[in-house]
Amino acid sequence: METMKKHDDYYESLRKMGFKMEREWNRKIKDLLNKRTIIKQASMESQISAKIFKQLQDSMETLSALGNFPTKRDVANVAKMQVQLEEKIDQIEEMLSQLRAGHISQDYSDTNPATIKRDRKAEKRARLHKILNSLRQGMES
Amino acid sequence: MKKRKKDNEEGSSVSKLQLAFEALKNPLPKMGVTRREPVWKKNKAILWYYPPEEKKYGVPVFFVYSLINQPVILDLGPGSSLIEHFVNEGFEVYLLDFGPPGYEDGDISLETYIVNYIQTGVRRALRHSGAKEITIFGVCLGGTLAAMYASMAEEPIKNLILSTPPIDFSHSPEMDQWAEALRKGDASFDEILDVIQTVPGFLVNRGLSLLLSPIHFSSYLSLLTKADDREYVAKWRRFNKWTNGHVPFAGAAVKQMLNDLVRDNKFLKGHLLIKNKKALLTNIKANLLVVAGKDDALIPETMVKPVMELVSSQDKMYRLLKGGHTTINITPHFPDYLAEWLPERSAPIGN
Repeated sequence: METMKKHDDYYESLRKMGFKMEREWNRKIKDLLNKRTIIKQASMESQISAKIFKQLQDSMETLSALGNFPTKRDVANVAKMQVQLEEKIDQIEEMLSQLRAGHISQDYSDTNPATIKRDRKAEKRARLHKILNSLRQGMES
Repeated sequence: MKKRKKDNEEGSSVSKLQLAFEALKNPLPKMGVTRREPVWKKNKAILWYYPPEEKKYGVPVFFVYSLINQPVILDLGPGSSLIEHFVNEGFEVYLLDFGPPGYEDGDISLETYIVNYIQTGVRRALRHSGAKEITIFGVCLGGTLAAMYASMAEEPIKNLILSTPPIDFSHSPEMDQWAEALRKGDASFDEILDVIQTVPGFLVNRGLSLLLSPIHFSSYLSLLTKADDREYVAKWRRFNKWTNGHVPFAGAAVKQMLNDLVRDNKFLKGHLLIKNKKALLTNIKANLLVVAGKDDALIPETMVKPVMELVSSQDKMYRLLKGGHTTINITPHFPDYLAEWLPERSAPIGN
């Protein structure tokens, strides 16, 4: 029992010492990095790197036109078009939902299947229902 | 006799070391275990719905989490999940997981996240739950986004809870010279961000490490100390996994954060525009609860508290809680600060 307690104390002391050392070292490193000269250097080097990367990327674009292969930008453009499509579907769904809510609040009894054939408005509502449900299923899949 | 005692001691210390190594090698305990279903998807974002067993409140809770970490921290594991606590209390919970942005998402700015993701997500959640009002709960940078959204929202926000949100960027807790250099125009990282489009997750991780703790080994000593405590080890492993699991950061969002927030402090000064609308903190009228952590090294109180003076909310409360940036929300039960404030403002059913 005493041995176990001794061990726990040992680990606890080790932990406390580690925390203290870590804090001291980190403080020194942060003080070292927190200098204007280093920041200016980092900013300048990032700008130089940016120019080199940009040139490389543009060269790949040129090569892709000759080699007829897609680049990351092409893939990104396709992905962006998909997001645009999603946004359009979202807007349509939003509109349908508002229309549906409006119709339901006007007269809910009109959606009774027995009167649908005679009621052109109710037919439209049923169609809206269908479209909305299919959109929902599409989004869920 | 003396020798045997020494052997025992050595044996015991080796076994603890062994336990710690084994803990690191063993399969990761499950994370994100609360039952959920997707309600809406857009790009990489998913709006998750966590249904309660028994709905006890009419106002659902909508979580907005940070852009640089995974929201799984809100549902870390059984018994230490904030979302689980909410669900057990009878709240309907929605969580907007932005997902990891790719190269193609480099032009997603903070305002795009607010309008196209958060606002649309809140509308979806309201429609899905059939509720008339909603509680927005923003955590960390998600708290800043939630406050920005609330400052221009048309949706009925009843309660706004901001947990450790960086709002006032005039105080830099660490590396103040870097912030100063940005403010004075001595440093700019716009060009590199335009080229790489998204900051990879490992760079986000390294950047945050540099800001907080460039050398980090103390957590492993904590593991060693409690290697024989299974519950602690499981929690440690989940937390460690989350800590190292940073997600990429969209370039346009980083640029807006560095330029509009760190450099110009536009949100606090009332100069921030979101889709051509002024995002004024004075527009916030919802019941407001703001919390900061006493031991929070990343977002100290000075970055959080000024929001209290600038909102128009009549019902507002500020709490400085014991704990760090993340730990204030990892509790074995529904956090007290929430239990005392939220239920009576969430339209209890049957009252």
